[in-house]
Amino acid sequence: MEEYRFEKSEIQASFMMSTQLWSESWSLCNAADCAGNIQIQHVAGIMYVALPKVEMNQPGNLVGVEVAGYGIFAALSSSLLSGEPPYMVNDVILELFVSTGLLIQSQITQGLELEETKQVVITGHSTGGALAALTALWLLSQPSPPPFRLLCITFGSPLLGNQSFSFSVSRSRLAHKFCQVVSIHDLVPRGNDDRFWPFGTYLFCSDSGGLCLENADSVCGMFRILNSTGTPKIEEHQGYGYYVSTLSHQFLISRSSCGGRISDNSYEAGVALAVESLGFCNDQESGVLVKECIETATKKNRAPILRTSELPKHIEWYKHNCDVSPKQFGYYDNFRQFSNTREIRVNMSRAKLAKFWDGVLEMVEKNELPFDFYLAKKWVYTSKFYQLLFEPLDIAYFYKYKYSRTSGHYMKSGNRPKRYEVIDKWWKERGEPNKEKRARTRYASTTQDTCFWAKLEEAKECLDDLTCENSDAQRRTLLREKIDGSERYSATLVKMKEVSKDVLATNSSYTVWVEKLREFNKLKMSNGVVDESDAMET
Amino acid sequence: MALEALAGISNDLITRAWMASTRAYNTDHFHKEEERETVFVAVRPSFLEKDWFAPENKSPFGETNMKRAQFPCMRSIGNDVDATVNESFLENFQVLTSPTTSFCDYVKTVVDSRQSQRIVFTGHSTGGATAILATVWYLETYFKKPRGGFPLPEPLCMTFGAPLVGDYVFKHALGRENWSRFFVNFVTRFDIVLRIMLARKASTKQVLPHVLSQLDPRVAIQENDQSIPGFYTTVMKETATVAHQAVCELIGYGDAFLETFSSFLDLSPYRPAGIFVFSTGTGLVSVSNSDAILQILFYASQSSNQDELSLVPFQSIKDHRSYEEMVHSMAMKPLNHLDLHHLPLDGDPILRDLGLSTRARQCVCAAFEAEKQRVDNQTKIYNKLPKIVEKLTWIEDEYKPRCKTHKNGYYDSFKYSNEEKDFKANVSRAELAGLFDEVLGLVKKGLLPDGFEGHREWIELSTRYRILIEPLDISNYHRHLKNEDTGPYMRKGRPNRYKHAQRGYEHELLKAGKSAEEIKESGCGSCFWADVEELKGKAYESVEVKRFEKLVEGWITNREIDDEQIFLEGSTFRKWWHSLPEEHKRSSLLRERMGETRST
Repeated sequence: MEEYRFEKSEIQASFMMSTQLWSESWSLCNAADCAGNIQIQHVAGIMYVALPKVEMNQPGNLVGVEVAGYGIFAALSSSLLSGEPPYMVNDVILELFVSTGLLIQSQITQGLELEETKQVVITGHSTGGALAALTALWLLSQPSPPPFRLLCITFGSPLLGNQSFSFSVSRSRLAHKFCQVVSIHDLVPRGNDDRFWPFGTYLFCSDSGGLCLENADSVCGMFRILNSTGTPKIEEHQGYGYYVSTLSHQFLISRSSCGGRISDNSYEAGVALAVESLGFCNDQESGVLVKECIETATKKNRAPILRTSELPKHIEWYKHNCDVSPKQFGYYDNFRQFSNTREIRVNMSRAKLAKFWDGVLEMVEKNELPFDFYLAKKWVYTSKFYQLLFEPLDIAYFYKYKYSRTSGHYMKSGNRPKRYEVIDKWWKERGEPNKEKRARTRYASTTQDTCFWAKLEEAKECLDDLTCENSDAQRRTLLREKIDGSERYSATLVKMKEVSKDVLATNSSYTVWVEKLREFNKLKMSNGVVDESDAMET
Repeated sequence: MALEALAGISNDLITRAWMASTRAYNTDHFHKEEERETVFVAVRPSFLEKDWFAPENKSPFGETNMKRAQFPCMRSIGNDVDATVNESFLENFQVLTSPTTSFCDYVKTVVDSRQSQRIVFTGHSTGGATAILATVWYLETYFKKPRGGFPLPEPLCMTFGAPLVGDYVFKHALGRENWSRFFVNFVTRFDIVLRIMLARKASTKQVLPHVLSQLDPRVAIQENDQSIPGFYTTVMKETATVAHQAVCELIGYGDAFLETFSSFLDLSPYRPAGIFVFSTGTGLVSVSNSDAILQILFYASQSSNQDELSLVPFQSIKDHRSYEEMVHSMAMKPLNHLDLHHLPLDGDPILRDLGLSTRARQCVCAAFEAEKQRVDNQTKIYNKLPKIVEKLTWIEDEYKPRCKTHKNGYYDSFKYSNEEKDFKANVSRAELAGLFDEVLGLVKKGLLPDGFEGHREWIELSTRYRILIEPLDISNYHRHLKNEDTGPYMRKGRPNRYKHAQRGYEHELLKAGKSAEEIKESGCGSCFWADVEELKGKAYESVEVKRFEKLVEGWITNREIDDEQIFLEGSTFRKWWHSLPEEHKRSSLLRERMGETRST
């Protein structure tokens, strides 16, 4: 059965243009441009902030900008994909922002004190819009989010940053707060420097209608079409007032196709109408290109599906069997030491699930997931459950086959699969306040610190090194400190019953290590006594 | 006219209803008349502002919640929220049903006299709005409970140019109870009243009193009234916003930008409910899909060109006064029922006459496609039912008896999980959880037909699931000590799928005539084990334990818990009970039950 598709880029534009947000934003932008300074106005529970346009002498260049850590956009996602160039933004706008950002912020704060509101619209025309976008981005990427909802609407604003920057805005899940209104005759928002890259929802408008595109590739495609076809009129850059007032009354008259046969397929009929809304003709080449743009933009992303086969139930069973088996290895050591049919099967599930979760994370990184994916608690819990059960197996596999002194330990130098770091992050962001921890009444069913075994493997190596005679005193102290640290840490976990039974199995690496450490201490103690008595005698 | 095929409504019935409606203008509250086996109750409209928007109401669209005590069915089970309706209309209804009028007594006489087969609630304008609420009241009061003996007069609600009354939940609840079919709304193409509730009351406040006076058919209309075009434009603009937003949401569920942008707007909650019959110069169009009606309400009042636009605002007022003509010309007009298969994107004179452009038809089509998707989702779920039944049957017929041979109930056996059968049960539990969570997700997002939650088959299956499998979830919860990590099961750990199943079950009890208090009192038997685990961890408290024991007796009678399982030797419950003070045990309700099992 063919899937039903609906062309909504024009409807969405019509929707936006029928609202008061559309007309109010523009009229304040216009006021800011005329007055040459920031304008603030409260309308129907929303605070509008408009930044004035500033003349720009040269088109502006890209400069690197610090986003993570101490940079100005502290909370922007800092994880560059491999091979991605560093973040860059337009230097002129950045300079403008650096000199006026604090002033703008204080005026917003004052405005909020004047009349309490939970909704703020930041807007601006041309460079004012770019400044508005940068300000909005800055407010949104502070470590603590602003106490109001924010929407940024720009009119004919130049592009702000490079592709990495735009990706980062999307990855930080902020792109949906930006709406960029662009006249198809206006050259300023397009530029001809393809190092700049758009983000947010674009509303392209003409005398006959509007069109919304969210996908950055489609927006770029649209820029290319506009650059190659229409002759931009420079004075059109002033013409937003005209579009805003004309288009906000467009809803009164019905829209029917101006020519050609109407397709029986409602999607194709819709796309044809959308193409006409920008004044393109469906049977001309440019119209065909616009049609392609719309079609790529309306492709829908799908959430991965959790299938029952992805539920790691049989691993629970494996763990249970190992834990109760008379051999008393516990499931970590069982998996590490043996390669029987059972282990091979478990290993296959391990690999399969790792692939599944890596796939999910890749989609997250590329921003390919539906937006509400994050809101689903189900995913957070399922991923955590997966991690609790499988990270020990991944650690076991790592030490069984991959570990060498040169490659370093599991916890170091990127050996730990990235999926676990992300799952850790999700778990932390779940927003559950830290409760006071009391000891459990029984051992946990899975060890709560999923890296417990990795830490133990390091401690094991330290102890082995220490037992070898040939190391210098400084290194020995260092090793000793590490071992003591691990001993204290694991003892606390055991005491709080935060570990699962397999840790305490009589033949588990942990029990063996504790035993070995005790013997070593005993030995050292007796040696120490001898040493001292020697010293006394001399 | 082919309307008869739709709901057994004859032209004569419509004419009589309309005539009754006009006679109601000059009454205090309502006008009644009887005609052979049909009773007509027509409600008086009002054109005063206070009867459209309650003066004290603070919400942007003058809406308020329906009280659950008065309208127990008018709510969503999945999202557990009550329907909202216009507060003024609800107040009009409260006055109508108050002892100061003879309305309730009259309806009771009609029901008790057994003379009538049909009771028609009707009205023009706000009279229609009140008639809608009166019909809901009739359905809640007389129709919901199964009654033996004589058949009730079947209700029918016919409105003429009635404003929208309730929100999405209102419409959803009527659909779930299969009551939508009793509501038929007649609408002339441009009638502004149908759109007024889609605009914020603040945006129309100034001119509304004047416009309302113009809508009153008893008052002469002023030609070239200059305030009308402005009013029309304002209402239409907000109608456009609502209609566009609704269709975008219908298609792009979960679109982040749309959500952000919409959150900055006050969007009208009102939605069409029941069947709508639109009248144009040449024909009639009936539609029963609420989303599609909303789109038509917007697109039908668009103009095709500037010339028409100069006339339409006045037409939008006149159309509210033209139901007389509509009713009289009906017999001559053909009726089209609009659905997915009768929706050409181009052509069709009647649709063109209704003003539906290609874009409009595309949006109407999207609404129908969304409903088709809901039906498809339902089919997919129904295809999975045998799988669900199979798993439940395995637990019931294999797992439970096998646990019993070890003198453990399945609750305790699962908690220790020492054997492969327990592992297998856990897999079943997880798979069932996945299936039921999926259904709940669809229900919450409105991605299933409105009727889904009302289907007996589903309610029975989900109840069976809850009673049989929830003990395993509780067992799992305590096996993993989540009660220590997260908190008590009932407050922190109970999955929403069980809460949902329980709400569905309680709704059935309510409809069967149990009072809300009774239902609340009887608690939830499938959570028996969670209560046991909680009590076990606490010091003995006589009142609490006695209360619990009384509940247990009730649950056993209602077959909510399995009394063959909970008294077994290895049962946590039994062990706990035996740890209670001797004094308590001697006078305990459960003494015999505990003793009986011991002797066998």
